[in-house]
Amino acid sequence: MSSTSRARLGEEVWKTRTDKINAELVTLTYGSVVAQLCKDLDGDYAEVNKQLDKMGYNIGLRLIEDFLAKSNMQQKCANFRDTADVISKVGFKMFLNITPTIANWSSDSKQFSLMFDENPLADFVELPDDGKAQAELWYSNMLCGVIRGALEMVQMQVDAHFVNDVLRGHDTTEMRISLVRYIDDEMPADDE
Amino acid sequence: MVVFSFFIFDRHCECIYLRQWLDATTPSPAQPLSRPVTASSAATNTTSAVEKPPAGNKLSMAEQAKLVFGVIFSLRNMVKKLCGPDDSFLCYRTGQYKLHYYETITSLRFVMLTDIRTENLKSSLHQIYVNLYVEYVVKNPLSPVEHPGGEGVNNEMFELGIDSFVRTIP
Amino acid sequence: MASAPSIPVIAVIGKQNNPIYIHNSRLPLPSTSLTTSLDLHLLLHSTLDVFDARLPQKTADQDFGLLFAIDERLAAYGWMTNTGIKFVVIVDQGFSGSSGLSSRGGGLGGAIRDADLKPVFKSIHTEYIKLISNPFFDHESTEMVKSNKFSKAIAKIAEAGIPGVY
Repeated sequence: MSSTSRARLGEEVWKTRTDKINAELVTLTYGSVVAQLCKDLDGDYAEVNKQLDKMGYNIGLRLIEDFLAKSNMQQKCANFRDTADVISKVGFKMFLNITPTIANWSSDSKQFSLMFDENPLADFVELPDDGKAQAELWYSNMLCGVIRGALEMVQMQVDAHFVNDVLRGHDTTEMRISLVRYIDDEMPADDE
Repeated sequence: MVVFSFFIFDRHCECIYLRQWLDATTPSPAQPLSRPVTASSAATNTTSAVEKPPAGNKLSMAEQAKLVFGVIFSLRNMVKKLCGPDDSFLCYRTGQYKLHYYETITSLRFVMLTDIRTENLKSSLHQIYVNLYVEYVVKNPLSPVEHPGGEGVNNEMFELGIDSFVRTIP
Repeated sequence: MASAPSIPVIAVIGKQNNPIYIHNSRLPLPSTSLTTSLDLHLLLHSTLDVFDARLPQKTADQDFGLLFAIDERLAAYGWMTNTGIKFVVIVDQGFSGSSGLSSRGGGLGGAIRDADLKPVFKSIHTEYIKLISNPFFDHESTEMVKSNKFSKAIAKIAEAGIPGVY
């Protein structure tokens, strides 16, 4: 499947097979989750990042099934570059109606960056001005978990984390995704 | 057409759902299944399935699931070795039954045993995945993502959905 | 020596009449009665009485229009949301003396009609909604708002002045 036909697929799924919900509701819901976590964990932003990632992971494990069911993909991606393309053009398009740009491939094609020109989760957000949040909190960290969980289900172990976020005052919002390994098929437990 | 039974296996090779529609009068799919493995299963399965009283069904279902998985697992691996990783087998048939197979990219395996006159059910199994499994099981936040120990998909909506879906298969 | 009307002050006042945010760009404004920031606070305080006094007659409309004229140059306009948040805009009409009273006949405020301020209040309202949509915004806080984004947006509104009025 070519890159343009993927873009078309993402568009089509978004238009015809995705139930829509008010964007502010999503933004505010996600915001309350993060804000509450920050409060409950008493400003331990490293832990907040971890919890967000964990939640995202659990979402990813389920979301991938919905993704496959809606996008009707039957074939595994041939390589990691294809995977990146699908994540951006079909995955993000379908669930958030954005298409992050793929950039900064490493020479071994195992690492790339997703550049978010817009981030619906972070509309309205200003990080708390406590001298720590700006340096430690990755506000949209749930997205990393989602990608990690979803790719694990299709037998790719990846590491995903943000390296830049406009909320912190950087110029771009950038997520780095690196392929750790392809997971082998599991063998049935030998119980004979 | 007649559907004998239906299985779902997850990526940990665990049988997470099984269902049998047969009543005692229809020939059990366990019979043809057990034939090629008589030697290994002789200890637990001495009588042929046709003569077996329905009371023994519970145990034999779990046994069956294991056997079925063994078969599809080997068959699938063989196919992939012969024709490359993109190929997968769709079904096979014996004199008594036909086994239909569908595997998702997330390594969920759907297996349905029917009579031999049934057409290929790959798309029906795909439908079950899309319209029933994803809708009722995956999207149910209270249902666990993984089903360790074969705890299974215990979901009434799914159960009813499968039931009515099977009736609509021509 | 008439110059375009401008907006030196925008204030946001909470439900409990607590100041939420006060933007003042050009204080002290010489040749007006508004010279110190204490003056400003006093002035904003007095607008609250006008809000209170007019509230019983108010229907669904949020626009309170001209609250009062402060002197020949300055006038205070008000807007109250249905949730009791008040916006006060102080307009500098940019001319001194009565010579500038234009033919538009906007009442005490001179050249500016109540309706002219509507878009200004609308954009303040939009910015306020964005401000409180920030998940880290503390609704219980009694302190004034410190938000760069909001400050910038309000400053921009003040700078843009009143659309369509020159």
